[in-house]
Amino acid sequence: MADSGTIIRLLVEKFPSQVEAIELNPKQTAVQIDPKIVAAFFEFIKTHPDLKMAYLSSISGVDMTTNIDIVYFISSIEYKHKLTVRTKVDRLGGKIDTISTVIKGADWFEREIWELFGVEFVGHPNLTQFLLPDDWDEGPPMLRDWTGRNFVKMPEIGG
Amino acid sequence: MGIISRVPVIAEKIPGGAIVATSLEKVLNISRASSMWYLLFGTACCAIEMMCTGASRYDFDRFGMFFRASPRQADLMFVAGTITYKMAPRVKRLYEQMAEPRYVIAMGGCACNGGPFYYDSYAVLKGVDLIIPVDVYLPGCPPRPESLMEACIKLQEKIMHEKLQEWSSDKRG
Repeated sequence: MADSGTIIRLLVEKFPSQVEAIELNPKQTAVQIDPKIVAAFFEFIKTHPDLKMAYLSSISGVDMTTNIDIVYFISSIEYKHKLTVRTKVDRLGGKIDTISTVIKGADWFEREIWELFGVEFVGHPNLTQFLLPDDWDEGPPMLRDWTGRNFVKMPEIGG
Repeated sequence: MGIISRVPVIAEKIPGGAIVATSLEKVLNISRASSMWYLLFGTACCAIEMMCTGASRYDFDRFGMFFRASPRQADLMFVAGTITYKMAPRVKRLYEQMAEPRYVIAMGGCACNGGPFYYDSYAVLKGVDLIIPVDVYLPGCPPRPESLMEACIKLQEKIMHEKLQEWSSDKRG
């Protein structure tokens, strides 16, 4: 098991200007990466003999109002260490390379983020309608300013 | 109406015989109210309460109620749980597949009007009465088994007051 410092040192050595350690909480090793290197980055941490991170728990999308954060949670079953990888894409019409070519399990997570946030994953094998109703035509609903035909906003209480 | 209007309205035992004369309406209403087989259908936590009510502790069987896994054999549908816009056409189809007469109990806040998901939700249907007719609304999140049994008793009362003349009308289904 590699400790937090070792993991970050390995990553920064490999991608000197594109990877940067960020502080989330003491138990979580986290890095911010350049969205352009995402496929090469996951290829590296999957194949490196001291990292062997191939188990992708989840991919999150977060609407930060200025951009969308894509957050990858990945761990190694063999070494029992974890890594949180954060990257930024444009809020409207954002594009990022798929990692489903490296890690197959990313397929559905990426499809879900594409559908709910409108982020396009370039090179994804099957970016089609997934969880929303079959006849959905109101755009990605998880954006903070989204509104639709039957959407009722929570009224301000006490205002 | 023919022969039906000539049948006595209340049950009457013919002296010395084993025959009971009553109205066809009453017999059919009793039969319907005493064996409401419900569709095994649930989409959220209300379904857990429904299962609990059907199991031995609360025992729906004593109302003559028993779940059927096919809408073709069901008389009653508990809409037990949140109905999303994706689920809504499926619920409607299940309802249409049920044979008449068919009854619906909207169980829980979500089925009544969207409940806790009324505001700020892109996915949840705001009341199942927007797609299918509802006989009894049962609030609660989720309702206790006692409430569900009360709703069934209310529905039985409703069925007992049904008029023969109304069966073929467009009032339901």
